[in-house]
Amino acid sequence: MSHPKQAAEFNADLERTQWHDETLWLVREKRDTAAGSVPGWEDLRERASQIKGNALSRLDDYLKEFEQKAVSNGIHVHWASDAAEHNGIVLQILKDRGAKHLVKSKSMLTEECQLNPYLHANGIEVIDTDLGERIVQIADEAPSHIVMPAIHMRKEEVGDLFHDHLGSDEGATDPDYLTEVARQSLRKSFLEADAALTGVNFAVAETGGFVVCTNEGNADLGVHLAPVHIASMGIEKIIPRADDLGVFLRLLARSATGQDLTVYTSHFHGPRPGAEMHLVLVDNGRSARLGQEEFRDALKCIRCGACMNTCPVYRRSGGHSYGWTVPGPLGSVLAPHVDMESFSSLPFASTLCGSCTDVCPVKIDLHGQLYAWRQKIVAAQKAADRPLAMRLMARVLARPLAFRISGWFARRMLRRGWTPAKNSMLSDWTSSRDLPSAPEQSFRSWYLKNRKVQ
Amino acid sequence: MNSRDHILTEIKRNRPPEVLLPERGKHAGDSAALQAEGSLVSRFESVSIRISSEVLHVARSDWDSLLVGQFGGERRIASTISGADFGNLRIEPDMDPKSLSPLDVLVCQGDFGVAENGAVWIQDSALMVRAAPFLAEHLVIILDRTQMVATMHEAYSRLQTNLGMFGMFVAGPSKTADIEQSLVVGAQGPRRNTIVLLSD
Amino acid sequence: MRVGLFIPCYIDQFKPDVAIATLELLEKLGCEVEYPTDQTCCGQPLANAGQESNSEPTMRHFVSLFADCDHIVSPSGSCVLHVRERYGALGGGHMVEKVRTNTLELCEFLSDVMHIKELDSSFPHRVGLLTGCHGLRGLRLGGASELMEQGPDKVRQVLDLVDDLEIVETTRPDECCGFGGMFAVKEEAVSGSMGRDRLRDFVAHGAEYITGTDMSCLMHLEGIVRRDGLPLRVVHLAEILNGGAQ
Repeated sequence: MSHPKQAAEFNADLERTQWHDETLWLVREKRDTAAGSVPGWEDLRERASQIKGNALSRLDDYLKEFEQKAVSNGIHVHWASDAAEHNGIVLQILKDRGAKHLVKSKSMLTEECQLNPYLHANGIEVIDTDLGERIVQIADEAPSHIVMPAIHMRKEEVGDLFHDHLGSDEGATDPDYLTEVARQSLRKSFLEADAALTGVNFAVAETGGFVVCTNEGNADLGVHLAPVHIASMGIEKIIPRADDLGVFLRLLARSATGQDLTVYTSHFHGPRPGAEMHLVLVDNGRSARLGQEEFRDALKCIRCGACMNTCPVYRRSGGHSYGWTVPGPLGSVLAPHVDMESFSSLPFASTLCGSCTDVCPVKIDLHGQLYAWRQKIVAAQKAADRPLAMRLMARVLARPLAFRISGWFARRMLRRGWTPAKNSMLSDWTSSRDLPSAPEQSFRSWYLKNRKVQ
Repeated sequence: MNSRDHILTEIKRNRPPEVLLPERGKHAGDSAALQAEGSLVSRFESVSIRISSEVLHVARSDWDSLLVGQFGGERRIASTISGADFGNLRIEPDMDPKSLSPLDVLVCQGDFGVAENGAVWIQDSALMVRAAPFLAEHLVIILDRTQMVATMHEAYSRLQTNLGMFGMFVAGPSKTADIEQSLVVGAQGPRRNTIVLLSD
Repeated sequence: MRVGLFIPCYIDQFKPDVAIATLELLEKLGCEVEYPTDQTCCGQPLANAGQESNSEPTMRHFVSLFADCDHIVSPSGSCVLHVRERYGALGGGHMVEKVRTNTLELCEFLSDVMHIKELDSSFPHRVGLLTGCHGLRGLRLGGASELMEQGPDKVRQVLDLVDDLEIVETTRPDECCGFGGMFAVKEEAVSGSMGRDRLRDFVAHGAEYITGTDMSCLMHLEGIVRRDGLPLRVVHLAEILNGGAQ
């Protein structure tokens, strides 16, 4: 897939691009206000980064400690090496209980594992209960942001969708009304569900419990009504101590939406009497990434989405232009692990401005990882596939005389009104910009004429 | 080798050298400024209002009569407060949670509040039925005004590992902004969140 | 003070006035300036395109040219960041480390090494300031809006020494202009969109001139200014500081 191609299509609708950009910029501004209200915010980020660093460096110990405590509290703990195994485990739990109607709250992990289509193919009805996810589920689209899945949709589009699928009034676009329609519909789903699945924001090794954060209350409505709660969790979500939750919870919502805390921060340690609780620990490439020094810090991610909100490229190209489960800067450092060739355009969909790194609550050097991916991607390309211009550049830039001659030649061409050939690399410069005018001489020439050279 | 062993082996093989874990509980403090009880409560209240909660200040002797006045009548009201005598629905830990639905009001006891974000910690022993505070259209939390901490750090210092089988922070009524970033209060859980701050 | 003058490749070839202004400014401030005439490039265009390993000869050439300088100064935040941040790839060694750590952007040098308190320069105009992202967030030349703790703004401090110059404040304080090297052509649609948005912000706040630390960013914006006929003039801050910008 090609990010530039998708991005160009996105930008064809200028008004929509500007609306998308402005909407997400506002979320960045809310984050700034919230972060600014916390004395010691930068210290907190450093602390969070170190806690996660410790967690990753002792990940196996913490997972074992977590499992032992969780099991003793009555949670069934399962381990899945990959997406297929995760999906199989979830299906088996449902089948064992004859469950056919699953309600699901937000979990990027289950998106990554493509759980929904798998369950659907196996006769399970899945309702995504987060409003944004419900919208994209009905629209049969992928989420375009990890926290605000339907951020790319206008209310008119949501109104049309709900009219067609949920029976809302034709032409109605008021968000309050549309949310009410979804509420009534989802309340029925909650009361009818025979199983509920959630993600996990944080799992605490010290106590064997896990935390789920929502604003809508949809995760809790699912799990407290259904007889089975399945929690899907990436192994990197482990943190050492309950005390550490104080650090992460102060950072998460402020970074994500500018709220001081999500409305609901639910701590699960064991099932309610008569019900079952399952936790599926998922690897799916994480343990491999743990071994890669350049990329392992991305495992610290707490899935706040701040990097997307601040990224000037994400805001002007939209989540779908990244072609993967997770978009934006985070997606661009994760997707190449899955398929470096297919996603090779993603690490280049950036100016390396560094804004993402500065907003990341756990201080992942995101743009540093983008740079590292660029080196790997190009190294893997066969030499013949690399652009000729780049190969020549490497030779020219190391040789003073060749450099001077190339520059002289380029200036001469510019002065003679040369414009780049259509579809050449440089013709992309001139689609929205004029070329610079060419000076008569280089600085070096001027220097030799105007200053004494020893 | 089963998946568990395989995953743990891979992790052990790949994990980086140990990074030191920061000491528990030592945080760059903004708590000091908020410590005096008076200002903790006023900060809690102003944040609560900003997040669409309602805050009532009530004397301990008055609160149940206040609520009877507000919520009396035919509506479905459940209360998990021991010793209080209102509420017309039975609520017990072993009941089928679906039978509570629909639920107009739940009145329950909050453990303590967090001034920086208007959150209240409620443990399952105070809820009896975990689904109750989510099914209710209106959640009413009774909270002793002296039970207030400044930040989440103090909250977890206070809780230690006594988190029960289920406990939660509630910060306001349910909400969403998933449609064009328009804030809608009352998403899927309660539409109203009232905190009754009790004083002597 | 002996200073090695590092002129970015594209300034040498296409915008020599910026290099002349930098040279003259440093000389006026009492520096003995040495310009190694065999300079080519710091290697950044290759490295950011994924060819860091191929740029090794270019990097080594750079190090050899400046090995004797105590201070190496350049009118480019981006190039300086590349040297400071990436030249460790050459494997350390005394000469590499010396060159790497002593390469400074112009405002950094004026502020942190020369501690200048006055400039003989006047520029009575409303100016939009674009501190290039690599300099801003990489070299911490100024306060990035993402951070809640700000260091000193070395670029503004230096521009404040210019008489009658007014820096306009924009709605988005430091959003990337969209140049990004090869990004400008590979992701042309987004690059153009970012540049036009940044310029619109400057125009809306009454800027007459755009200036900044990086001629690469400025050339990208200047290209749009000329194409769209915007009422703006683009100059590198070295030209303003040196007094010859009008």
